[in-house]
Amino acid sequence: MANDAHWWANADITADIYASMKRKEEQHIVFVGQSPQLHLRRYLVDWMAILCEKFEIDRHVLHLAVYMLDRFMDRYAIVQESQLHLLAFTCLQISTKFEEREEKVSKLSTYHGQSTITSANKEDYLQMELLLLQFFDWNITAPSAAHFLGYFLTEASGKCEKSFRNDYRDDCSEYSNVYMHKYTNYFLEISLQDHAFSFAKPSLIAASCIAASRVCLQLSPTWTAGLTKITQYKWEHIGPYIERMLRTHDVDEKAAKLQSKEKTNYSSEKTISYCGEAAVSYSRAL
Amino acid sequence: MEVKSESRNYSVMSEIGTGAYGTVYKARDCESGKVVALKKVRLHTGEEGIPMSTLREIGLLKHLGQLEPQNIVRLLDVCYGGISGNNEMNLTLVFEYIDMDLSTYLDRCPSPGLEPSKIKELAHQLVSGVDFLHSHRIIHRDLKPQNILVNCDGHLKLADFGLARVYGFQMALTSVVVTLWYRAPEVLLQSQYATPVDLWSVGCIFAELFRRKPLFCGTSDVDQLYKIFDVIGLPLEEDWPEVSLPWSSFRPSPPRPLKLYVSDICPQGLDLLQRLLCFTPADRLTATQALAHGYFRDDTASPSSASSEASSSSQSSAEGDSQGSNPELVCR
Repeated sequence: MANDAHWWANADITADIYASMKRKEEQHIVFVGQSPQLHLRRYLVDWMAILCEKFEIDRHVLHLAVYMLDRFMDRYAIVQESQLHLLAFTCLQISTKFEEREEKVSKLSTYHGQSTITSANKEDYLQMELLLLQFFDWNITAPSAAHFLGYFLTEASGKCEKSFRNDYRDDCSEYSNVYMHKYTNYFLEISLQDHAFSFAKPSLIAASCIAASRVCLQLSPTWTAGLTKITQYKWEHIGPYIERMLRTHDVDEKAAKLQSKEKTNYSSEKTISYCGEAAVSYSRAL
Repeated sequence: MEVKSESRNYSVMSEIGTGAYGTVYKARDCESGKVVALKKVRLHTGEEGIPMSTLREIGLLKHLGQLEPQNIVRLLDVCYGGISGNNEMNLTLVFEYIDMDLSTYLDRCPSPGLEPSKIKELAHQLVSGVDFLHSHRIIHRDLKPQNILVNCDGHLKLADFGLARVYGFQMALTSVVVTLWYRAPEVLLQSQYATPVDLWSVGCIFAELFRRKPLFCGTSDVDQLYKIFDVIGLPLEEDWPEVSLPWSSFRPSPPRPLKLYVSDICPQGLDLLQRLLCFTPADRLTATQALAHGYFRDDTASPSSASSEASSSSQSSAEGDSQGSNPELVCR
């Protein structure tokens, strides 16, 4: 999509779309986090993410699917685990049908072996689909953090906000943009895994992903006036979410370190331990 | 035949037509007496759940309906019929009833065709509808006279969202859609495309409002491109996108004056048409830009300016009082 990547960037509709997404986000069904199966949520979300990766489904689809899953689980207690699988799968399938390119919408049979869906219970699937759609009153255009992140990132880099890009060297901007996207995607994933982020507005999560990435990339200041303007969030809004994201990042990093140490000890060849992506990228950027 | 939903009953009056995935009926809301259009979609429990086109159509219209758009058909209700003996169930979409589609409207229009002010009014509503969709993250992708509905009083609404989809900020689309004659070159070339495809269709339909027959009637994808390049000229090689069909497979042809094909058009209208029928999507006007074009502004700003358009002077003097002076009239 190199040629068309910014087909809309000059278009005057960008502001309109953002306004429409902000309005829509206000109408989102509130997440309460009262599902008796909340402890199974992480497992379901991971499973959905694996399916998306396997079938190369866009992350916007996953975000919409998780939105649906959260709200539905909040209000319906589903005791059987197989039913929860069916629910997660149906959320993903509805979301794919709605958001993805036509050719990405797979037949149910494609997922054989991936889920409990077999031809024998296609009827259950249809019933679940209808139940979900009725629950949402067919209103399934819910902009997610992934949607907002796309907007914020393109706005920020489009406006060439100096401190958003690399402060050190001009020719690094492309390079640092790549890292920015890598990190924001990572934090976006974290925001799906932990249901604590489902309480917040998607635009707030998207803004926090950018700030957390800037912390990791050691871009200073972490939050600029330009970003405040683009996202409409101040530091005090995003602070608690960044903290939570970075805590998870630390845990992930420690786990990675431990893993690589174990490997090193086992092979007893290299003494350099894995120092984490943040440090690597930072030193390269310098 | 009766269709029931939780809240309302509808009695079918007549069949309007059959589409790819269901039948459309004219019906009456038994409670309010209002005439509605019912689109019945048959679901087989052994299949893939709700068809993607139905899911998108309902989802998008539900999304837009809350905003009460002027130029988008209103979805009033969705009814479910239980599973019958043959494992089938019905989903019925209840729409507001609109007298006819634009294709019928143009067919019924007596010679010498629509008055310039009427064309402007319809074109403005068409572009407004598209502008509304685009600013809500929706590309229609199948705009054609058959999907555009017109009431007897000339109120125009876009319909048939079975192919429409939402788009993301960093997402370009591929795969082929839109009825051949209204397809943009980038779709015919199987290049990536986005919102500009709808504006190409708008251009074709705008020309058709004057001509009362389609502008480019190709018989295949390649023939459609030949027909387009015959008129707008073969684009420069450097403007050719990276697609499998090479630029060299088309013979060089200079652009011909659009006026030859749309003879009754005024200079401002011609300029608008030219800017819509641009080969390069990025050069094509956006819906918002089209709405700001002089064609829509000049006779609404001052009633006298309409009569300065040489080709339309005779009609506009007769029509001037009712249309020319009030900008609100155009988009109501």
